[in-house]
Amino acid sequence: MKAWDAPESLLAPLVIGASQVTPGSLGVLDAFDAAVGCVPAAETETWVGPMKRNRQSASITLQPVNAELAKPYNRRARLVVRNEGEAADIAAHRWWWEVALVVLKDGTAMPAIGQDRVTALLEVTRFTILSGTMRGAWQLALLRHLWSESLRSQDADIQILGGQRDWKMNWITPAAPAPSAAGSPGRKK
Amino acid sequence: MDFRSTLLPPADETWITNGGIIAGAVVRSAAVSLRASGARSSGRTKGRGSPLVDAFLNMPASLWVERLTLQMWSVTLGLRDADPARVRYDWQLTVRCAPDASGAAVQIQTPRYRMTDGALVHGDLHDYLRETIASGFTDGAGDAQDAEVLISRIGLAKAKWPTTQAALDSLPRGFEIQTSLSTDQLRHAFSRIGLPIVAGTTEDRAWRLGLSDDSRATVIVSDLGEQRRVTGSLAIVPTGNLTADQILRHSASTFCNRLRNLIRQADAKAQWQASASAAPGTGKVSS
Repeated sequence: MKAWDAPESLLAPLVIGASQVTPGSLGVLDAFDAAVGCVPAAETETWVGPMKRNRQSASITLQPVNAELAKPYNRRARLVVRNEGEAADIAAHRWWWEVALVVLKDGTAMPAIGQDRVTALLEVTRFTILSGTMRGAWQLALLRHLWSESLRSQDADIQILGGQRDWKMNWITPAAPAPSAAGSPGRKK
Repeated sequence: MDFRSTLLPPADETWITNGGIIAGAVVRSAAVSLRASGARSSGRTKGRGSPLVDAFLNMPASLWVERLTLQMWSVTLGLRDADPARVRYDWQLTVRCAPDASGAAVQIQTPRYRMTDGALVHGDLHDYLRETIASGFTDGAGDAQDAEVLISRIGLAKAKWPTTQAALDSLPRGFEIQTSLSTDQLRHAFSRIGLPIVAGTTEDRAWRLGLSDDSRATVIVSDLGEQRRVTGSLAIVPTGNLTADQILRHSASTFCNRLRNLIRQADAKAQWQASASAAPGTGKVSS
């Protein structure tokens, strides 16, 4: 196993090498755009106003970053806390994490990915930790999984290396015990 | 504060990749191992107030890790707000990987910091992080993923999943599009949907909706001479799980939006009609 091939890490980048994704790199980017749209928003509340005494409805939302701000990546998306009625660009500063996707020049990831393949890198470019927990973990796991699944369905011969890309249904079953900070074993499929 | 070291990347064959991935792993690994879970950051920027106000303003500090550029990372401890002017930094540490005359080099700096009573706020965490990053670059990042795996497991175990029922009933179950696009143009639009494909022939396609193959969207193209008719059907099978059903709902909406937009980008006059029932002949998927 390569040291950076860590299928349980939500933070490790995903590197793909595709030979049949069509057309060109668009398939890689389209899969990302679609995956962003498929991550549901979650309801929450924030405290606003003087001394933060008033509660306000908000949502934890995954929103794309506009193309200019996404550079030098081809795509970026941010999970943000967005107050009701708030503009996306204001909420963008209240991020929990951000992922960025770049289609690389041929050979950038050699020898792990062959030179004749479309090579792309999905990176977690921003994340936050609060009270020992990574925030927005399930949304990140879902995005990575949906992107990978779409590419797999287009290219049976695709190479995917790096961090987490599989989804485990037992993550979303209720009453799953939380592992201790000392490092209890993860949940198995 | 400045720290320089000549290294990067470690000559280790288990890291068969480019240097940016290795450097990112070193920074991430050090940051997540910091476990700043107990750190609290004062909302005050200067001066001292009453103990009561201080206690109210004291909130758990967040650790933010950012890749600022392709060569630069930032790790910040403090309080964040949507208004960038209201961010409270305890400290910000930057890591820059930039080759210089001596070869590959890493610079670790602390451009922002806050002092209280002559001491750096959460200085112990700052020093630990700086030393961990430095040793990660000098000694290699062989165990880099261990801390990441742990924080990933904890993040998923403590995740707050959706608690509301997905409105699956409001989704269309069928649709029809009249367009002047050719079959090839339609095929190109279909190839850009981006959802997982579960079946495909020359003119018929099916995509998976949500997390299970039970729910899917199907389209059939009919040639009407000058026009083409795209007939679609959405098979929505509720899972009974709140999260899975929310994902299913968003997946179905994304499919409809992307298909409609992709066709309208090429044919602004395309007519889209949705219906509450599946279109005839689209219930089955050709594989």
